[in-house]
Amino acid sequence: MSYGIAVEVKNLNVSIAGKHILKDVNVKIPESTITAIMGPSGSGKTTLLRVLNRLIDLIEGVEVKGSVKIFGRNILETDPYEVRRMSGMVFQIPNPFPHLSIYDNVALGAKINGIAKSKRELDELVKWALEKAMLWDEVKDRLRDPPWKLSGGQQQRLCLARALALKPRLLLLDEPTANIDPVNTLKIEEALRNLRKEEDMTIILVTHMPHQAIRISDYIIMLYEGVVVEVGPTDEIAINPKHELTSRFLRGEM
Amino acid sequence: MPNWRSLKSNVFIVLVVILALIAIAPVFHIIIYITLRGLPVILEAGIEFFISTPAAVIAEKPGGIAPAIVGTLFMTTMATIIAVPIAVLAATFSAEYPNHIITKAVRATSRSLLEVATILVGMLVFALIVLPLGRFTGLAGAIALAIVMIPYVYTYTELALLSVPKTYIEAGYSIGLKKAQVIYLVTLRIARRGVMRGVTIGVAKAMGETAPLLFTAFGARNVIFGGPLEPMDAIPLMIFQFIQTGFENWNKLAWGGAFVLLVLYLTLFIISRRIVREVRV
Repeated sequence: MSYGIAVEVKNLNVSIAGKHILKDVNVKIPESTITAIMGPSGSGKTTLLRVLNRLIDLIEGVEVKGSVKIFGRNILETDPYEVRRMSGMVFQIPNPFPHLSIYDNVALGAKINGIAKSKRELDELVKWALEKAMLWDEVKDRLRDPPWKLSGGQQQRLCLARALALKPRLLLLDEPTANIDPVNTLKIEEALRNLRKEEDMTIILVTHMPHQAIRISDYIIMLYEGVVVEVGPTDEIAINPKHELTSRFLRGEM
Repeated sequence: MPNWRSLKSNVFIVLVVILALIAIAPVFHIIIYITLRGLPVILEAGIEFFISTPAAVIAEKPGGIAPAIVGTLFMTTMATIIAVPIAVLAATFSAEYPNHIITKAVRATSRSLLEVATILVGMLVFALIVLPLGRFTGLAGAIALAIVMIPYVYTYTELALLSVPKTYIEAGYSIGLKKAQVIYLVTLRIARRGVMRGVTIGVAKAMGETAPLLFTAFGARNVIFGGPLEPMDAIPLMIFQFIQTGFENWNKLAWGGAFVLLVLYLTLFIISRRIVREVRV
């Protein structure tokens, strides 16, 4: 376990179509940790996450100010396509590519970005990604099947594998279990824990489920109306939240 | 009256079924009538119908419509090759930049082109290509058909692309795909059935057109294939010209040609549904 800084956000301000979404956000996220971004709906969690891989650029009329460094590189001054290759992302609703097989869903990013050079390397990478996403045993005999034959939870783990196939050091997840049953939720959480431990991955997870944040995260960032109201180690925040809003959120009152 | 409601319901169901039958009756009428008039001609003429030119009006047998069949296949194929890339690229641009000034212009032009009488398209190509070349050509016919096709393919493709859920596009970007790769590897692939539907309808439309060919391909009933720079026949053109004559032989050929066109249509629709699977989203 190393203790470098994976993500450093300084004076980040984001507005979309003139609406101020994130206000002076300053956070540092250590390497090889799981960080949960918490907060009620509309607090800017997803926006913050999407700044980190510049997916925010797809929205019309967006304005991003400040500095965001990922592993020491200012990503706001880097080609967005390169930024996106640095991290993997899992979305709120499982969205495996419907026109590709299970195998190709995982392989596409690796192929396009030249991560695997030969067919054998690609096969190994796909297997590795599916194993890390805890899906391999369930799909190894039907890699050519279309993804709609999988359950919702399996589809979400396939999306995790798709993100992992980029071999990212940073993994971003936007409420990955919001639409998933409890058994699959626990599987995804276990996969995340293992990825941090075994692959030294830095994981940032948006969630509005306080229990999930407490279960798996090392750090918590509490957002409210675009402002970071509290940041700190999960152990401390869970036992002794300093801010009234955080404690209300953890009690499920928000 | 306890059964008043169910009686009313039944009356309406019967009414709806009758109206539905009336609505689709013309389709069956066309299929049955053309088959009854056209199929016997082909059976009588045999293989001659497909490989020879029309016989003289006083001949014993009617001959065949090979020039029209070859011409239709040639010009429709050429038109497809010209129209599909243009229409699909334009639709891709429109779907990617829905509010761009070019998108608005293309959309408006395409809408009006859908409404325009196709004989005007023929006259346009006549002025632009036939007059400078000094002759009617199959190529000019193909270009006129391509102009007829483009707005259909464009409209269906644009709709299909716009209906691809955003989340797949975001997923494409999230794994590091460039814009062109997202369009080609994700959006167009997911929308492939809709694109194919547009192409099918465009091809069907082009295959059945007469008016744009009158001033462009003109027709050539005695040469099976003289090359793209010669006048060329087409099935609808042949039907249009032969059915107006009083000669029995030529009337027969027109009906036989109508049946061939019908079969071509059905084949086109069946093949296009078979070769492109729907993407389940």
